[in-house]
Amino acid sequence: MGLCDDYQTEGFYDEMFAADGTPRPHYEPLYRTLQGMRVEEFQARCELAELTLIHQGITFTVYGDERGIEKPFPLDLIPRIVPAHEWEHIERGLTQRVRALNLFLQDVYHDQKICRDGVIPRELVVNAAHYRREFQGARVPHDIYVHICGTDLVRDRDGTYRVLEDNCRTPSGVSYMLESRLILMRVFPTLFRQNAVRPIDHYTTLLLENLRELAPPDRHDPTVALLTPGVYNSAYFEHSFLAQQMGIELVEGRDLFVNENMVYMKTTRGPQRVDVLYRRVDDDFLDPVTFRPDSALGVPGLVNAYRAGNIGLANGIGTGVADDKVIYAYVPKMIEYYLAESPVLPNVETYLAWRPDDLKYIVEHIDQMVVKAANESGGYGMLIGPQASRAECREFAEKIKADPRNYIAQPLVALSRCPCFVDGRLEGRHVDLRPYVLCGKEIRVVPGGLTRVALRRGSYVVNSSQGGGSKDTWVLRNGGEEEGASAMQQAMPRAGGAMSQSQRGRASSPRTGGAPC
Amino acid sequence: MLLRVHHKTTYRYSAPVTESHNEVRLHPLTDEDQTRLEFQLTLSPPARVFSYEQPGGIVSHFNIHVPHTELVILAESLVQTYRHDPFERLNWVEDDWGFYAREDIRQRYAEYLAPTRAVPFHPELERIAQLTRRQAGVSAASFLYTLTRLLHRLLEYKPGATHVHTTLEQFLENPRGVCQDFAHLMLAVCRREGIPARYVCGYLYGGYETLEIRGQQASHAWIECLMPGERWCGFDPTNSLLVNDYYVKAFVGRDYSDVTPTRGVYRGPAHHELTVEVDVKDAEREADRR
Repeated sequence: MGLCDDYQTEGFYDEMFAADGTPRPHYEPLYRTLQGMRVEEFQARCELAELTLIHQGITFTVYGDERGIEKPFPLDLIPRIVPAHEWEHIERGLTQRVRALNLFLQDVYHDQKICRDGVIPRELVVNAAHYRREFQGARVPHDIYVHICGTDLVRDRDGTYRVLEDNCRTPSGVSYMLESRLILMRVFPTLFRQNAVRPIDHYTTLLLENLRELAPPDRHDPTVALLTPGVYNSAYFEHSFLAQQMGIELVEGRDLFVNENMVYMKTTRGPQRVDVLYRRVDDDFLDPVTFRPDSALGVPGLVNAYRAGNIGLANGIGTGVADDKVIYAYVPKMIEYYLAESPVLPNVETYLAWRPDDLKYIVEHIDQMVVKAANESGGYGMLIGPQASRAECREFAEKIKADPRNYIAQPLVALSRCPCFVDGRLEGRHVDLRPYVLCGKEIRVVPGGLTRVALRRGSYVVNSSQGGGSKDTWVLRNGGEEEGASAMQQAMPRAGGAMSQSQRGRASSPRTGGAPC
Repeated sequence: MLLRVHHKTTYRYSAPVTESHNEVRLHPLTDEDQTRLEFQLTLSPPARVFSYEQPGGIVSHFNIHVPHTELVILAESLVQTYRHDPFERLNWVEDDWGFYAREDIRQRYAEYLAPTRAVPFHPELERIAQLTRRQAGVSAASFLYTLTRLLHRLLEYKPGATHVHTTLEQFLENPRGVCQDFAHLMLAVCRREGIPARYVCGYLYGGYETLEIRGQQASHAWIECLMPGERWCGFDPTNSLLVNDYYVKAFVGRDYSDVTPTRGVYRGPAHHELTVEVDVKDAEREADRR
């Protein structure tokens, strides 16, 4: 009996199987492998993967969980496969979207033309929780605010890719994308011989290239560092991983200081000027002089140094206004306004409680909708109407009425599903996809992303803080979705990945000086 | 008037401070009401000063990396002010509230209509507005003038009763405070009524009359409201006055946190002692005397 026998799509769009139960063409090689494999063998490979994860310390942190906050990241071994033509569409859509978002941020921090022309009400922008008035009028390198964007895509019942949200501040998860691939290459090496999977391991090289572009123009061999809030941050593993992979310093606020608008790093050989910071610290905590004075995580004077053009920051300051879920609803209009193009990737239909008509509709249909707070993330501050009790719905309706600007609602998208290995067999679980867009002189999207899985049966919440896991995401080469794809692609795991493992998990990397490129 | 402003801020620390980063908003503005003719910032210990423009005024910042037990920030300026007759061009008779319902106005001044942490919408505001409406005429100016006087009467001016972090709720429970509290409360009432209003930090010349004027010893705070015709007009609830050419504006913002005259962080002892001296002189009279 094959692993895939008895698999049910249950009316959802399934990434692997068509409605009639036959595997989609781009999944055929995988299907054949799985059908030829005994459950015991699959189980053994899962155990190997789990051990690898634990040994490498690939974890994430759940705040407020008393049973020890650090957990290994659950990885499901059935990959999510995206055929080449679908990826082309996604790539085109994301490139377009991030271009528009950067033009929007440049505009709202300068002339606010989009507001004056009546496309987006100005009150939504200047009163957004993450709009930074202090930063109005400041010039930023190359007029780019968002250098790294993680946009969450979902597929609805008919398989259409839609944008669920943009993450323009400090999107995380890219380390899981990279690690998932390494683990799959180790546990299922043969699969990579049968499928033409495009590589993703150049992500950190591209990222470093982008970061170096942000250095002040007179700095020819710039020093780049990654600023982390520290070991208690949920994404600390990722911070150390990325710094390690790029060969740059991993620093905390206390390792840096500002003098006369220049930023320096304290080293054993004295102060060393820093030219670019990949900062994984939120605006609020970045600089106690400009933002929250009680923050001990930041660097006093950093924001003014950035404004003076003496240091590059990625992402820029004030990008959170574009993450506001109310502003999200206007992104399709932004694309039309700035680029004179129609959006390639549609949004999910969104109701804004801020509009009186929408508010009425939301309150009346709350049991059919997903309601979200405008500025929360990680699956917090939301209500899934169809899965909530009446009391919960009523309570949420009151919250919305009390503060309509801060809530939006969307119909529950019947997220596509992908087979997952659960209790010795394959079952469908809902997934989303977060590709990572790098925006420098050109916009590049590494072919892949983080596929997040809602591991609990029937759940729609994919966030790792809410019981989500991940899958390796394979983008196939053009022509690679035909049967019997060439065996020459990616035969073996890359040396780069293997080498880095011995050094993983350190609190900080040695002070190497300049970063290799 | 030609006013000379002398503003000295001194921080004294019980042990040496080794690192200090500061932002100051002390440059008087140049706008339709006043022109900044001279400005000088003197620091002790000395430091290199950087400045830039922000919405609301000019920000200067500096850092000090030499150990020090005292930091002195001295701002001296010479400003020409013009609003000799604050009643000029104000409408007292016609109902002009339609102006505030205009969508273009509501959008253009959206940040001055929204509540903030220091200016929250409290149920008590509606009561104050009703009380004001009962006593005021039909125009917006009349409402604002009446509100200015009402707040002056309802609230007790008591330095030391509040501090910079006192919330509006606390102040409403115990309505004793200083110009900052008066200004925040008036802002909240105005915004709830749909009148764009902003916080102003600056200085007030006490004159040579024997009038008791509050807010001369330190920097002063009042508010500006957008009047029909789209110009800003100042109201000072602490002194129950319309703002005239005795007032010098340094910075405007949504509330106190946007305009803080001096702010910063330092590495050193937990406690410090702060003294502020402000002196505003009539420069023409000074010259005459010489």
